[in-house]
Formats: sequence, C-alpha cells, structure tokens
Amino acid sequence: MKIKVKVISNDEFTKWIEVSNMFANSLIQPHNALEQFNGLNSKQRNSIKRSYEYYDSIRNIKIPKEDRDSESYYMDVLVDTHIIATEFDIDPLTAIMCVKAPCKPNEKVVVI
Amino acid sequence: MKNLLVGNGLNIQFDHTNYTTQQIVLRILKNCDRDDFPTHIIVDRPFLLKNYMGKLFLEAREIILGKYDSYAFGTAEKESLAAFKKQYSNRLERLRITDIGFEDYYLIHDLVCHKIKMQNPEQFYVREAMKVAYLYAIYNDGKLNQLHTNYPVNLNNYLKNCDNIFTTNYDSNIESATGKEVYHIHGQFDKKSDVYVESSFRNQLPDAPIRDTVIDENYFYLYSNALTTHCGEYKEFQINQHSQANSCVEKMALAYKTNPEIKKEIDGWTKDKNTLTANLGYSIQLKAANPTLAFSDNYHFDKLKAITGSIEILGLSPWNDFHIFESINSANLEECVYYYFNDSECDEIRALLPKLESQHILKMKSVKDFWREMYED
Repeated sequence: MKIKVKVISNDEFTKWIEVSNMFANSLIQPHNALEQFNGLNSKQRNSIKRSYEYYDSIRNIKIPKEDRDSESYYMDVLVDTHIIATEFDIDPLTAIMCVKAPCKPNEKVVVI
Repeated sequence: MKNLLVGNGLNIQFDHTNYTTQQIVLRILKNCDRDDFPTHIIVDRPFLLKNYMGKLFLEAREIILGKYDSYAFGTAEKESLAAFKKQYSNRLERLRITDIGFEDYYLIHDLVCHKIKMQNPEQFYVREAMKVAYLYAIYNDGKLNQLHTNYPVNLNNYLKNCDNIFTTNYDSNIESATGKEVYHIHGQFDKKSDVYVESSFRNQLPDAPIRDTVIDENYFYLYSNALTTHCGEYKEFQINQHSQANSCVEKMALAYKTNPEIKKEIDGWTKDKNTLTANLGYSIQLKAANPTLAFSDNYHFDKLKAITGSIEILGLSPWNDFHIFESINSANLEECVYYYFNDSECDEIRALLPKLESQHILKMKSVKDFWREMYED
C-alpha cells in the first residue's frame, strides 16, 4: 500500500508544535510526538478531532458564562486533552496536533 | 488459622480496564462533565474540580523536579514526597494527569496548600471534595459490586475455605460471592462514616455535623467510612483514632464519676471557646451518663494484627500501604504467601517483611499460576 506523505519545513513543524503545546503543556520531545502522530491512522485522527469537538460543546454548557475566563478555559482544554490522550494512549501534545494538522488525515508528516 | 488479605488486584482480574489507577483518574475527570453529577454532595460546580486536577498535575511536575522539597512538613509527608519522586521521576516527560495515582493527588494538594498557605477549613473542604469524587469514580454506578458474578467456582471455594478474609477494597464482592463476613481494613462503601450516622457518639454532641447535612441515600457510598490518603501512616492514624478516643474518653468518664474535682474541671471545659475542648468535655459527660456510647471502629485492624497461622496476600501492591505490611511482619505467623504479578515485586516484599523472610516462612508465588488453578475444571 502506498504511504502518503506531506513534507513540511522545520519552521512549519516548530510552529505546529509551539501552537499545539500552548494547550498540551507537554514535556515530550517533539520528534517523539511526531512519531506518535504518524503512527495514528486516519480513523484515529478523525476520532480525536471529533472528541475535541465534543468536549468543546460540553465546555460551553458546563462552565457558566460568568466563570468563563481565560484561565478556566485553558485548564479545561488541558484536562480534556489529557482525557483524549489517555483514551488513545498517546501524549497530550500528539492529541492536540491532530486538531490542526498540516496534512490530510491519511498522510504522514516528514520534516526537512 | 487460614487468613487471606486481598487488594484491588482481585477486581482488576475480573475487569482489566475499569479499575486500574489510570482508569479511575480518567473516570473522575469525565464524571465532572456528567449531567447527573451529584453537585449536591461533591461540589456544586464540577468544572472547578476538573480544573483543580489540571493545576495539581502541573505542580506535580515541579514537585518531581524538587521545587517543593521545602514545603513537605513532618516525617510522613517527607517520606511520601520521596516515594512520589522515586515513582514518577523516570517518566516525567511522558506523564499525563491519568498516570498519577489518585491518592498521590492528596499529597500534591497538601504540598500546594503549604506553598500557597491555604489552611483548614479550605484545605480540608477541597480534600473532601477530591475524596468523594474518588469514591464516586470507584463505585462506578454500582458496576463494581457486580464483579463477583464472574468469579469461577474454584475461587468461591478457595474464599469460603479461608477462616478470615481481610481486604483493602471498599466493595462487597467477596461477601456476595461467599456469604462470609469480610474485614474491610480501609473501610467499605456500605458502612457510613460516624458523622453521617444520626445515632453515633459524634452526633450526640451540640455541634452535631449531621444537623447541617441532608443525606441522599441514592449515593449512600459517598458517605462511607472509606479511608483514602497518600500514605500508610496517615491511614494508620485514622484507623487508630477511634479506638484511642474511646480509650481516652472511657478513662476520663470513670474519673468524672469518681472524682468531684475532676468533674468540676471537665464541666468547665464545656464552656470553653475552643470547640475541641468543649466537645471533649461534652463527650466525657455523655459517656459518664451512657457508658455504651462509643466511636465506631469498623476497620478491624486489631484483628489483622492478631492473626496467627498462615496468610496469603493476593492482589495487593507492595508500593503502597506499608502500615499493612508492618503489621503482617509483626504477626505471629507460620507461613506467609505473597502472590506477585511481576518479579520486581519480590525484592520489595522481602524488604517489607524482613522478619518473615529471616524466619524462612515467606513464600513468593506467581499470581498467574494462582489464576490458572482457579480456572481449572
């Protein structure tokens, strides 16, 4: 079976990791997170994205308007990321990388 | 006498996924998003608990890096901190919220409270919310108590042949499977804590806690006497405090009845502004008037300490609850069998039971062999 690949630059990779890790707050080495990401198939990546959409919808209900400050929002996203990471047995950074990946769900990312 | 001590490994054997430490922490977090979360018992805004767990996790990493070393007070806390760092430091980079055992979050909470100078009652209230959320997650809507339906016949026979069964589990699976009395040395879901029992000694005092509490029997297990904390020493303290309190009050009540000077002194205590002093005075007065009153001691630890004959230890990790191993090591035994899951546990057990090891009565057996036997026709 042909493996589909998306090549990105080191700058693009760094930006992807930095933005993702703002919410994951992970200590994993970026290349390890990328290895995990590439190990996920399209079904898993789409499932992870749907999980985030689900938790986003719950967040808007469960956190009252008057309590929706940036800190409570951030912590809630962080905890939800850890929940999703546990359910898929991956690092939290890997999980959030699936939300805005620079490739299609069935593509592996290669950094040059 | 044939004694058995059973831990959470028994439950994991019959449900490999839902009762691991990781799954319990995951369930605590996910429960916070449930529509039917018992906000009237645990916390009125569940997202606060979820967020707090996230904050504790971020501090856990600082703790592992040694930045909280100066915030551990007392020997027990310092030993817990050292054990915590030893357990998690080699996987710091890969740590997730769910990879830290829930009871370790009590330690993180206490250390953070020391750092930010949060004291009681707030420190206590937050810890209580964490504890009740933990019990809610373990109970798992009652599914936990159904595990016994999968017990093989050989296991039921094995359990029935034991003279005494002790467990650190809160559930009633073994009782349901065997009809035997089981000694829950860390409490049990179906026994309420004294503060939630109207007729208890505690609730005869003027500031009876139950007066301000509405018990929802649908969640009876959340009011239980289940013990949960980060170190064995604290568990042992909680286990012993009722019997020690009973002993103290009994002696004081005798003096109250026989010595008019002591009676006058104690009567004065009830007027003290310090609630603890006043309550002690009231307790002694009540005990003197009604000698049958006592703080309930449902942990059966005295029975565990007094065991003789043999003991088999099944499904109990050697990385926690050192107070239990200390008691077993001191007991007058002829044989002790520990069923290990990984070889690495054997050295740890030998270190925890040195007297039994030196007497050559400590035996290590594979738990995989145990279960193979239980499933044989």
